[in-house]
Amino acid sequence: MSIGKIVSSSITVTVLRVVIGVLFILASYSKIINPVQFSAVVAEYQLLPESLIPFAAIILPWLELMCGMMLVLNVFAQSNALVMMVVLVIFTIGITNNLLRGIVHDCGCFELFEGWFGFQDEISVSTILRDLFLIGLILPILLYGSNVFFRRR
Amino acid sequence: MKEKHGLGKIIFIGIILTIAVSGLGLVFNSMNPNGIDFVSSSGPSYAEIAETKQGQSLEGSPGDVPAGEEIEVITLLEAKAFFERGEGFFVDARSEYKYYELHISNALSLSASKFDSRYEDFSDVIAKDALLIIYCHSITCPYSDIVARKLRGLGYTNLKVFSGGWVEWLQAKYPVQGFKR
Repeated sequence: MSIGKIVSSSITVTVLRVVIGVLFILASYSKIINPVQFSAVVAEYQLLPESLIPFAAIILPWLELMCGMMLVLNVFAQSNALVMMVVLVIFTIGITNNLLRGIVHDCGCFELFEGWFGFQDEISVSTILRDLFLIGLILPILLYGSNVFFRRR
Repeated sequence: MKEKHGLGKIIFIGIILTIAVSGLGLVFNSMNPNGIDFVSSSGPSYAEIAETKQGQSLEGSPGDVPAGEEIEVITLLEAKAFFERGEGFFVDARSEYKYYELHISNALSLSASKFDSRYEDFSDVIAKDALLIIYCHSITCPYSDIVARKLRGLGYTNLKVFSGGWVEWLQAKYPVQGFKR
């Protein structure tokens, strides 16, 4: 079986949907509970004007949660994959931009894991590689997933 | 059978989902006790906020500040008096990059966004009963409040928030230092 067939198979897409979906649901938790703390991190990215930072700090975690849930449930999987990919691309650009300017700050990516395992997640080259890896995992969902609200059997 | 959908439809549904989820997030934020307060971020004028915030105390936040304890908010003149007497430490809650650019002379950096990773070093050199005057960019920024509440929750007892923050200090032409100076 070729790599293309494996990547496009329904089993692969299903596994990726569930894994990525659960990952984003877990990532959203602490940010939804405490958006003020997350707004400090969003401000560090220096991508948005001051007035938009509170909105981004509220909306981004909810996008992670709802898109994650819909990916797991296979509701509009392609559209949700696209939204998550756009968010990841924006964050990757922000991280790259700041690292090039020598600014290192908290990533604001997986804060729950910091609480569980004591990870200190600051932006770095490995953060960029992780985001690119996640984008790579989302791509098969975007290309080969379904985009319906309810699938009739 | 696999359904085929054009990119246009995928993008359209993605935009609709983003708008719907944004609305949901904003509604939840309005009900969240730890939510972002848009009134002090974009509503009233700078002067109105200054009038109401100065002279007040910060109320406790669940999980950070023990109930019943409050953190005093001080004015520019009070902050300057502490500075001139050499009392306590000024703590800069803005990003480290902003701190290194310019900060109140002799201030320490304890960025709100890097609090967890920097706290250990901070607590090694600063005693729990030391007077700490915490500031961030201006009266509308929340970072000094975040840092103050976290420090109070970790046992620091002598905390004050300089609400006017960096902008007021700079406008008053009081002493600053940093690589942009």
